[in-house]
Amino acid sequence: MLTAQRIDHLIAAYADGPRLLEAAVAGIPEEELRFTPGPEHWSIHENVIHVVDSDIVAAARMRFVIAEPGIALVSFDQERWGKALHYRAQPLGDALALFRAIRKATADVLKRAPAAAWDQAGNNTEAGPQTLAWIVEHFADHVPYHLRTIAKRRTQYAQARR
Amino acid sequence: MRSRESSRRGDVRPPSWRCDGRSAAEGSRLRASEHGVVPSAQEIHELIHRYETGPRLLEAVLAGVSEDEIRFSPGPGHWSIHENVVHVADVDLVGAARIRYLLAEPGATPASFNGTRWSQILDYRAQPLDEALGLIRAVRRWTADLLARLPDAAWDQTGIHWEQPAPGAEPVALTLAQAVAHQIEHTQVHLRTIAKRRAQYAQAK
Repeated sequence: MLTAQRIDHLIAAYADGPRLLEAAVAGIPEEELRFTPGPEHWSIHENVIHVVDSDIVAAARMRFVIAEPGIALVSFDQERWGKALHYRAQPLGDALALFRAIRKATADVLKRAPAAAWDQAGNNTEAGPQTLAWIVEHFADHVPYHLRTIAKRRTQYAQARR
Repeated sequence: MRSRESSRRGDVRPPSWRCDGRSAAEGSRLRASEHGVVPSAQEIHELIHRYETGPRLLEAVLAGVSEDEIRFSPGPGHWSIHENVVHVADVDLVGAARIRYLLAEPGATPASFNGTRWSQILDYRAQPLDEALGLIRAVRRWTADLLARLPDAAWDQTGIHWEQPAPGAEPVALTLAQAVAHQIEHTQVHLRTIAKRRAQYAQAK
């Protein structure tokens, strides 16, 4: 069983995602948001849309694992989503607004979940059992992971413009 | 729509009640939802418009309703207006994921969820109403952005339905148009329940 302190820490890290992502993209010109170092790489724009689309699935998974432990968590192929769901065309502002709304509402769900729920798991169709604690930590970390990619793109953009 | 909760059982929820059931697969009133027929540009426009304006309909029926009335339930088997709205938010969240799976990975979709269990275990009564409404607004805004950018042919694209018959039976499929129509009609069901609760509250008072 997770300690109350560990649960608070996980929820705080998860809830902080929108602030971190908004701060990372604030003020970046459109051209730089759209820059990609090659056709197989996502632009900053596509990275942000991916983080938000993944969060829709993550928020649903958290609710499933709390209320219906043992249920199948259907894995998704991010490359296919990026193409089929037109990540380049999706507006950034609406994505960030949704990200805020999802994490705010879901952080409230997590705060009200019984402590025992954090050890409950669903069965990821690719990765196997995943506990609520793992899912929350994974998606909390998902933002810093993409912040590193965003920082890398910014460096690549600066180099390409030299 | 012949949804179980609206047409057969009123809004009484037996233990097996699953609100996001297969109403879309059972056939929508919308012509746009007929399998094998790509909806016209006007029908697509109408579907997107109705999907996107759903949150405004909810906000309109909730405007000025007192906290006491929003929390009123006619009995232990019935959701209050508050619980109805939080439920719509969860169905919209999972529905948005389903629409994306249908478009990107039509062979996969999140399972149906147990609305009654979610309302109890996720403590709908304690979840803030404004956050639920904020989630509905943002999910629909964002998904409408996606829907508006799809080629017309995408509307007849099929995925697997979230409720499947017994193992071994022919899988039930649905089109994007049906999946979107399902979300629209699900909100309509709960708008009717909210109107009913208001009448019940007025009678009880």
